[in-house]
Amino acid sequence: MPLDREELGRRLKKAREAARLSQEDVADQLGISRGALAQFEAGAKAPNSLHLVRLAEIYRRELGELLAEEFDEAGRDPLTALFRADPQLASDRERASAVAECVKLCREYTNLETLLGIDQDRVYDVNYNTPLMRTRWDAIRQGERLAELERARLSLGEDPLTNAAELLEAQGVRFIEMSLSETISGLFLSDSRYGPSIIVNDDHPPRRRQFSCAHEYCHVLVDRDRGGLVSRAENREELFEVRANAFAAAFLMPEGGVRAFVRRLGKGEQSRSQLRAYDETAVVEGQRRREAHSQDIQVYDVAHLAHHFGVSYETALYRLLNLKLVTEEERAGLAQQKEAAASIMRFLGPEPDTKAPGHKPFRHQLVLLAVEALRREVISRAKLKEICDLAEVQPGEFDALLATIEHEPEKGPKGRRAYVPRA
Amino acid sequence: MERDAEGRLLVVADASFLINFLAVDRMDILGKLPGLRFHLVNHVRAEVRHDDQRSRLGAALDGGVMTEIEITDPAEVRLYDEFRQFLGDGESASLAVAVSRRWVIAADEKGRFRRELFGRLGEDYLLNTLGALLAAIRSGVIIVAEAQTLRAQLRARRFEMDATPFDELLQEE
Repeated sequence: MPLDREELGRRLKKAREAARLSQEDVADQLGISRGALAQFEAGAKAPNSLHLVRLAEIYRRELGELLAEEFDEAGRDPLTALFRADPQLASDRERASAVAECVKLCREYTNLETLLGIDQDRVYDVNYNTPLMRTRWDAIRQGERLAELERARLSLGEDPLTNAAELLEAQGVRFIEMSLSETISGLFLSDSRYGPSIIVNDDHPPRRRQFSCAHEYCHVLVDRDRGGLVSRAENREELFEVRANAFAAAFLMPEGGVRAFVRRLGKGEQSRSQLRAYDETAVVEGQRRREAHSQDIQVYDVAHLAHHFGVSYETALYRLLNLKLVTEEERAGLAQQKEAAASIMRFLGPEPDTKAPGHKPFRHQLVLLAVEALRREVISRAKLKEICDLAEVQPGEFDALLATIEHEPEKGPKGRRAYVPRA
Repeated sequence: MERDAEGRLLVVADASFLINFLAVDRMDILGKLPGLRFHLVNHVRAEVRHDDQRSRLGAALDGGVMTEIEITDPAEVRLYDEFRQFLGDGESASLAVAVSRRWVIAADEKGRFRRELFGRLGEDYLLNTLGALLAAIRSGVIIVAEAQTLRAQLRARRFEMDATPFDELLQEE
């Protein structure tokens, strides 16, 4: 059935109601009167394409969705679902719209991958079968086990990750850093239109961001059916958040790597050790007693460990606790020495901050993909300009990018120089 | 090809074409070209960003050199949406109008845009800046020397344009 004005109006009304917006709200954002919007919705007047583009944005729909043969009234956009599940983020208009802008970048990236025939979303080939979690214990064990499996899949061995973001990007995950409210460490979205996308709060210190990056990666691996999640401090007791935190700690600090590191410090053994040699008939025992407290892990050991693996002091402490390398009493005592730990970590070197001014790796990747698309003539120059504007490329930089493109020979027969219509 | 009541071919102009005439302040040429009636989609108007060009465009619209149009037909909006996956916003809107209404399109973009146009309508539906200047010489709207000056001005603004002498081009066409 062709889409007529009345049906389009009905869809616009349903989409507005699904987005829980009043006519006044929408008319304000669109810069028209409430009456004009009411006329669109009643089918009395047809909205033009500029109105429709803007309405689709406001309702967080694809324009094509509003015009499709079948219309899904509720809408399935994961960003809408994410905002619905986190009204606090949705009500922070400035940040919500910044998140929506980031998602647009991801959408363009996916579109370019499709146009260029690039293999997409490599991480979606990975499927971990995770049994239902009933307790926090289950969640922690599952997170740690997943981290081990993922490290093995990626052949990461036991070494520290020098740049978790780069690793994720190699898996086809879009990774963006932006300012989010203090209690949000990050969020993820997963949808065929956006691809697996992670946004991390760049107001947080680098080590925390590294942790958030690994945390959101866990969601991409095993929670992608949810479409999206906001990781807030208030949700830390939810089982899927517990699992993601356990994953992040174990992914960044693999058990073998932590134990080897502690061994290199000459620690991590019991103060009294016994070894036995058996010769098929009898046993001979050997004993070693270590000096009292020689095996106690000190604040500088933990600070060194945290610095080595690029995590926070607190994360390192909990990892040692889970690996039973410190007791809860020791952890609590060491936790109180946070100031001393910070001094030691400063002494060991600056935080591994990859964020220099203007450092926007995902945006750069997107722009270079678009440049390739123009070179191969799958997009136009104006489309490249739009993508560059979205990625905040400066006009001078845009001209420089254009100048680097050597077009492939024009496809099809060589054209005329002057074109005049021939009726 | 669609025509108006006076038998003029209906033309929709993309920004890549329009901005050339705005930059050299010669929108009058488009209004005087016989047999052609120019239009621009509101998306393209939004792409004219320099203040001086915006005011020249406003004057051209007020003076009847061209008419601003909108896309309201859902089928046309759908086509526009399809094009904008790989074309800029204004060129997607202009091409959607040209394809669905079978109008001529005035544009200078090559590559993917031209392939899409030729595949859907054929090259007879294209008018480019060089073609418009040639048509203007032929119909006596401008003389060859004027066309040469305009071309030099556009090339100075880094607009890629064939440098073949107009006399030669007139013989070719």
